[in-house]
Amino acid sequence: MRLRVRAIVFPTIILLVLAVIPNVLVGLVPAEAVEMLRQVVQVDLRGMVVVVASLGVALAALSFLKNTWEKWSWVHLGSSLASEGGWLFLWLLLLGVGDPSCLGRITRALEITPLAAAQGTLVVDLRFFAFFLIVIAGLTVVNILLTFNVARRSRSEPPAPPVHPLKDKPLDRSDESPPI
Amino acid sequence: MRPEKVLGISIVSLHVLYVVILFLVGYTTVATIMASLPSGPEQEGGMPFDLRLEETEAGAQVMTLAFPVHNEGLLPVDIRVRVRLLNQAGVVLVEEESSRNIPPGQSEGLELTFTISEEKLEQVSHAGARAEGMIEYKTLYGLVSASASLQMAAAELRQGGE
Repeated sequence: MRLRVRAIVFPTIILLVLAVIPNVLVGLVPAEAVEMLRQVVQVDLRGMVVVVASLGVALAALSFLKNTWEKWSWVHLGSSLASEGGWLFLWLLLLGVGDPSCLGRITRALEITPLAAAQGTLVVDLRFFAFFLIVIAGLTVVNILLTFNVARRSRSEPPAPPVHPLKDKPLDRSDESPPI
Repeated sequence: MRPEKVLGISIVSLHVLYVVILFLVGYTTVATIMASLPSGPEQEGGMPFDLRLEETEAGAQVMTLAFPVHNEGLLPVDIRVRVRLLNQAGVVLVEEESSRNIPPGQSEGLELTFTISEEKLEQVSHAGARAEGMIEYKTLYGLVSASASLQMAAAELRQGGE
């Protein structure tokens, strides 16, 4: 895909997926369900959507920058690394249901209305997914640095000397008459 | 092939694998929970377990907790249930535990039965005595888990069973 097309298509997709669609979906969830989530498992759904949308705008801007500049440029390198960090943060935020620092281990106090005297705790362990994401992010950073290095090296290499169409053509003497 | 190309293909493959595993775990968890929750007009709004209390001739109470689990997902799941009764000083009077590995598409019932002697029943009746329940769910061969624990006054549990 051409650089300019990519610079428009990718940020648009990111904005749609992270900013527009979650806002539309959360609008469809009944207010009682949002309130129940907040009370029972302390998940602020609307707050999370705002954070995801803000991250979406930042990631779209980084994607625009990344796809506007050539691979050998420092801007491309910086935006690629920042974009990777942003994606990792977003995934950890989603895995931690609003708390990226818990690295996939969510602990919530449960409030069960029918049993007033009851106290509960819910623990969800998704550390496997967090670890998987960190490994992918690490490999991606290595790949970004490698690609940047290769692009920069191939740019700094002197261009191959132009071939003269006549001068460098090997002489074909087959049609010449033999010397007398 | 150049190393950055090989690395790029590996990263894309890992992303695909991540999404596939996430889908398998998510689907298995949601399908198992939805299939195991009580349904039907007579059970609507009820608890996801069945509690029975019977009295023996010697005056002891036999408590039976039954958890039906239906694994409608795509991965095997491990379910562990533990129930404890503690007196007001925090001493464990009764403790029972049961666990099952349920392959995909199968149903298993976890049942805990314990007998509380008259002497222990006396201690449980005091204010401050409590019941603790814990249910643990594991899938993806133990790599992903969730557990819910609940503490309540033992008197409230007795009322629930009656």
